[in-house]
Amino acid sequence: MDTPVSRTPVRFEAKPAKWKRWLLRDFPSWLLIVPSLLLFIVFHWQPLISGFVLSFFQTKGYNAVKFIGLQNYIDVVSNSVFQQTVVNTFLYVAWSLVIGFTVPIAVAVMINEMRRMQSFFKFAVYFPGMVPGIAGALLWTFMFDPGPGGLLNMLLAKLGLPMSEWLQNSSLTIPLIILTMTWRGFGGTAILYMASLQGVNHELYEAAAIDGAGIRQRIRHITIPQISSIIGILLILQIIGVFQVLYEPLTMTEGGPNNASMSLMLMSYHYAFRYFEAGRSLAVGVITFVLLAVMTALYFRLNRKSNTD
Amino acid sequence: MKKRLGMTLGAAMLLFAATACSGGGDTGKDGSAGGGDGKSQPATTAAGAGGGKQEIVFANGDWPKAQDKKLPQYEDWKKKFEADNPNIKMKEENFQYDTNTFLPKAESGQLPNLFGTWFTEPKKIINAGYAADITDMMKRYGYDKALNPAMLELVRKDGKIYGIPTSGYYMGLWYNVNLFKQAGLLDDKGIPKFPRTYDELAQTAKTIKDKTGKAGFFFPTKNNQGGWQFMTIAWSYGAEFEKQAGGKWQAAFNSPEAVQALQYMKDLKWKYNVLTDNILVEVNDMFRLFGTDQVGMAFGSTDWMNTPINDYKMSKDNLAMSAVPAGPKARIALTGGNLMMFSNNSTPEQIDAGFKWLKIKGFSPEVDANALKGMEETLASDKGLNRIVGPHGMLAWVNPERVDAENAIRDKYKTVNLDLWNDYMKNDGVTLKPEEPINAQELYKTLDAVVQAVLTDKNADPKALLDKAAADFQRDYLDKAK
Amino acid sequence: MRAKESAGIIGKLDFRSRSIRVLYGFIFIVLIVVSLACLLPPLWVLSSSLKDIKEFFAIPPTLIPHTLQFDKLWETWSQLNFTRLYANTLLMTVGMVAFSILFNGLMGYFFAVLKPAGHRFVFVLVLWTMLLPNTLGMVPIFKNIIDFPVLGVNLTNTFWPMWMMAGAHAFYVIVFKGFFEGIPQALIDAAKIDGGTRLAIFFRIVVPLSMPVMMAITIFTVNATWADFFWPYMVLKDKSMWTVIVAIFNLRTVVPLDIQFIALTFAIIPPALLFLFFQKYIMQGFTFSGIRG
Repeated sequence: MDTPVSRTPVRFEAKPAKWKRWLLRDFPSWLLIVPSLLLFIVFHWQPLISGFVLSFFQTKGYNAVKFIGLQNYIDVVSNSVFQQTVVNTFLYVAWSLVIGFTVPIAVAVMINEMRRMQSFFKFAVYFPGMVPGIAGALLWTFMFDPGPGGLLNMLLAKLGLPMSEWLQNSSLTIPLIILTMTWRGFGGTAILYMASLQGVNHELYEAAAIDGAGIRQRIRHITIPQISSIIGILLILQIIGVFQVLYEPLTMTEGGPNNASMSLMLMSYHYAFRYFEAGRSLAVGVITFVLLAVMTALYFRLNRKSNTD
Repeated sequence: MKKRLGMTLGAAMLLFAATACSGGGDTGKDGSAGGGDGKSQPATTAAGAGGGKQEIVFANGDWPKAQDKKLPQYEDWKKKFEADNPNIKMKEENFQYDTNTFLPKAESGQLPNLFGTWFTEPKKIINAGYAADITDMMKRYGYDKALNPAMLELVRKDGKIYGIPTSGYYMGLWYNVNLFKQAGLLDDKGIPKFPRTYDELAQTAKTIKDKTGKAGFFFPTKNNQGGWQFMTIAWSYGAEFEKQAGGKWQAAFNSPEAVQALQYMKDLKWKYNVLTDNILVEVNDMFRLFGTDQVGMAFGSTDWMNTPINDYKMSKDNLAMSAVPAGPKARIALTGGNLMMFSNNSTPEQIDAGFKWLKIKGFSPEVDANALKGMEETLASDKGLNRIVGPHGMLAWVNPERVDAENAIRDKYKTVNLDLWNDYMKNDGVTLKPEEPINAQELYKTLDAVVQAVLTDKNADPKALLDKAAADFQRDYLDKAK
Repeated sequence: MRAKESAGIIGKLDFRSRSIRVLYGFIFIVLIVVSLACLLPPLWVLSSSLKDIKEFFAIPPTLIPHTLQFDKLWETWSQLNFTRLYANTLLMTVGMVAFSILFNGLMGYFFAVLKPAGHRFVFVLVLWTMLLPNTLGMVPIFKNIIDFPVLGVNLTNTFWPMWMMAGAHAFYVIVFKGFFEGIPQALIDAAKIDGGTRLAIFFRIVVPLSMPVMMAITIFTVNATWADFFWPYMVLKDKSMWTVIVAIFNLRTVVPLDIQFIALTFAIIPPALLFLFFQKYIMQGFTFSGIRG
């Protein structure tokens, strides 16, 4: 039951002549996504390509002044904060895998078991995602206030524990930012997992139960394999998303203390929006892109390998 | 079968295109009515140059928000403006300078003709080519002679003028009168006892902390504001930041004086413990904390004086101000201010309209009653809103008639006890200094990190931090400066 | 009812065992704790907006408000003209959901089911859009909105840019693809033999079978419409076009903060209600075997 059903494209009448076959079989399929492709071109591909090109130019605003080859890249990489920024960005990803990856899966499976109050649980876990950014930011300033008046410190005091500096403790900054991101986002991810769990054929569970398989075995041999493709997709999307973390450090710490939470995208944002240096900002973006492309390619290669094994 | 599919799709796409067009059509009309739209401007230019009587559209970014209580005042001015200039149509737009949106707007020609910003910005706006050269108009209306030359210098590049300074400030100290009262730090006239040196500042802050439990002093560390405010302290300790030697720029802020200044910052946190518990804060947080009586003192200027009153319903009588304290070597305050600029795609007619608008508002070098009417109306409306009227920072004007006239009006509408403000306004013995010349914003960013380090890490070594920061700044920026 | 009971791993028979019943109780308690951690902090901040402003910002904050000013609710509603804001936001929501489901869904269908020659290449391009961050494209995208390519129209002060951006969302495309791949090939083949066109198969087979994920994406899109401010703020300059979040953002320095927070509460209520409406479809247990006729 582990082997996935072999997937073949829908074969609408196959005809001998190659171009004719293409016209009949593939062309209508392409026609179907023309509007979507146009939207992608206007709102993604064209802007991104123009940005890519501009990263090799000296810029005035967003206009190319002079081709300078890799000079923007050299400037950016040799900046004294760059190295730490790259390390930080990977740290964000690592922490998000530790904190953020399993929580939504576990919550989705648990909610899926509930015989009552399912709606309430779904609503509750998704609720943080509905809170607009400004309210969220204020919430965390109250929570993480490092003085005795901070909500979390009041809680620690009640439990007889020492107070924490929270975000100001540079070794806690990134994990705490990830924690807030997880709090905000895990409900949405859990909902996708729940949707996926609906695809699991319940007859398999019944059959397994009759065979005497325990809960743990059922999870391992039925649930996980059935939702593994979604797990894989969401895992890679999470890595991609967290690697580009911008909004949270921008609003919570602005990269501090002492650059402890500076991320690549925040660096790119600063270059463009604060110093109007489009060329360098785009160079950071392209570097981010290359790192991510390598990581995703690696991921897909590993994934394919483990699938064929 | 397939044919049908093709037709359906074709129809769907047609529909899509058609609705997209019609949606755009509406705004097309809208856009041509407003000068804020980049595409409509060439048309108005041609018309303006050709006919002379053709209608000019002037997009005015100097306009309050929809809910602002000042709005009726602006509506009156607009009526007057359009009555005086029948061939100009004003399209008002509330424009707020905002780092998140300025770049896309500027880059797509969406800036209003006239827009406001502050003095940390003009250099990069001019360099990026987003501001129009207004040298001719400045001369024609006499602004170039009547405005403060030091402030004009900040908007000049290669001899051309790109902005109109509207108000200036120098750094001073804000006092929360309520907290000073609770801490027993008011004199018999109810005026806070102003600290005269940075050591006294630390002591005063400590008294507030001990007596009231609230933070004595606010210091921002985010958004480049940490470095920016650190300047005032470090200069007074005798530190220098950028030095020119042999035609080259040197990062000089790892001197013993700078280290001493940073040590002072460190002491504020770890020896006196007078800062806010949360130190990853910015000036907006200061308004909140100050406005709700949770911090005793902060660096500030007259520019901001009405913000905590407006946003946090603070009483106008709760604020007092003094000149900055003295350091061991000097007593220096950083200067800055606000300015107006014109978008780079403005026509001469539109720029001219902007100057006419400023005149109606009462911002012009002239002193006749008519020209000052706008200013008088502003202050009267502030008074009506129970805001602070009376104190002022650096005036933008230097011609004496204008200064006297302005002061007379200010006196007429004053709403606060000026004894709370006189020390700041006299500013005796304080040297004023503008920003450092090279990559000031990047310098602030570098120093933000240093200040954050000493305020979050008890064991941080100020000397080592500054050595590294100076070396990094040298390599990242000064070595590349021409 | 039947579907609900059978969706879980723990079957009916298992409840005879005591350890399973304990496990169930334990999970229930964990979920209650998680739910409270999610609900209480934001509800507390939002309800604080009824305090007066000094108490609102007091540190340490008061957990139970001393002052409650309910009249502020109505004041906010009328002051910000929320009726208009709600109408605008709803209109934007409807368009965004339609674009999001239709265009991202078709693309997911294209990659997961149709798979014509060359689809892999396009998929890589779609995936790449996720790797290059939004901030980079911001300026060129805004230029495209001001002067739409080919058509040459200015789309500011319309909902079109937000609608169209909702229709080009790589994340949703990839999620749709992942789900559509789980649809049994046999069902699609059967429909094909019955003479269904590609579009008909999408609407008659793929969409009904994917209700849970359709609803999930709908919820995400609705949520984004009510919470994301950047593009609406840039595009909708005319007051008559403002949405809730644009109004809050535009008035952030004029309106006192407590009023802003009441407005934020108003901004949460409609998506929360819509969520309650849509979420039940996520768990309705559409079984593939159920669709035979």
